[in-house]
Amino acid sequence: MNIEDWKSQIKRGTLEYSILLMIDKRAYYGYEIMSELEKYPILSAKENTIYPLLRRLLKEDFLSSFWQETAEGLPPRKYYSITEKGKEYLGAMSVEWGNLLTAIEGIKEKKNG
Amino acid sequence: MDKKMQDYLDQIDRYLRPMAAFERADIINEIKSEMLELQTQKGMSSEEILERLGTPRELAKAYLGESLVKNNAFSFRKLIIVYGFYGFVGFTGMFVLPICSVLSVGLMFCGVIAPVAGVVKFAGSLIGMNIPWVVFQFGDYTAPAYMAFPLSVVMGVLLFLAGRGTWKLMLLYIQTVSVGKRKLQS
Repeated sequence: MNIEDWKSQIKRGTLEYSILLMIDKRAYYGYEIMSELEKYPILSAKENTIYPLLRRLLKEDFLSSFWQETAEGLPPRKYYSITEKGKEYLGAMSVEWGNLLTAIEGIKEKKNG
Repeated sequence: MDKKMQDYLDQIDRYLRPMAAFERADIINEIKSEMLELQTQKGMSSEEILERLGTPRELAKAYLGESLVKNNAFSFRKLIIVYGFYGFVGFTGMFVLPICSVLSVGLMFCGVIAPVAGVVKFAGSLIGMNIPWVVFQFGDYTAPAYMAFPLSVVMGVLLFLAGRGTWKLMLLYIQTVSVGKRKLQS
């Protein structure tokens, strides 16, 4: 098991959460999400990860999408926004995320003391 | 939108044929929209854009993979891969596991027994007793009693190492199979 495997597992497990957190603030389009994630190497992901993931979240009704014209004369962009169901899901994820952080902290404390 | 990028989109469209036409159009439009944004806003060349997106096959497979896992649709290719894997593991496992486990335990056991026998023979010869049921014979050569102990220790070590090697080989086999299985599921 090397560190890259582990990192990709973490990424796989947390990308969904990260994307929902972003979209919870405002509507994003696909490329915008990727550029935002690129700021954080541990989370950066390519089209072949992000688009299928967004599609799945759409199918599960956590997200909804709409096409919007742009002012810059570009073709329309596909925006994603969060649904009520998505908000509930995100809330539940945040609780579990908190549990995970508490657990890790607890284990670390035990190791040190 | 130049020909290279259009070709790329056409290929994606072809790979995504198992999907409904409206879904496909939606996917293509989304990728196209990103291509044009990268081109006009980021000033990327079509080569750079295509490199970023990966091969049409990879990208299409990612979309298909997600829907494959989701609706669990029958896939002949998947069947062949699964069949091939379990066929191979089932067949080799039938021989590798019993042979390796019995052989390794047997070899290690002999590795321990040999020096013990050597000590018995050697001790016997010291008190002038020939023990007929302990004989060290290699082909036509029969070791004299005084050589029994050192020879038996060497043999014992060799046997023990062979047993341990077989054991490790078996663990390696199990590990390889487990990794294969995990890959199959992901």
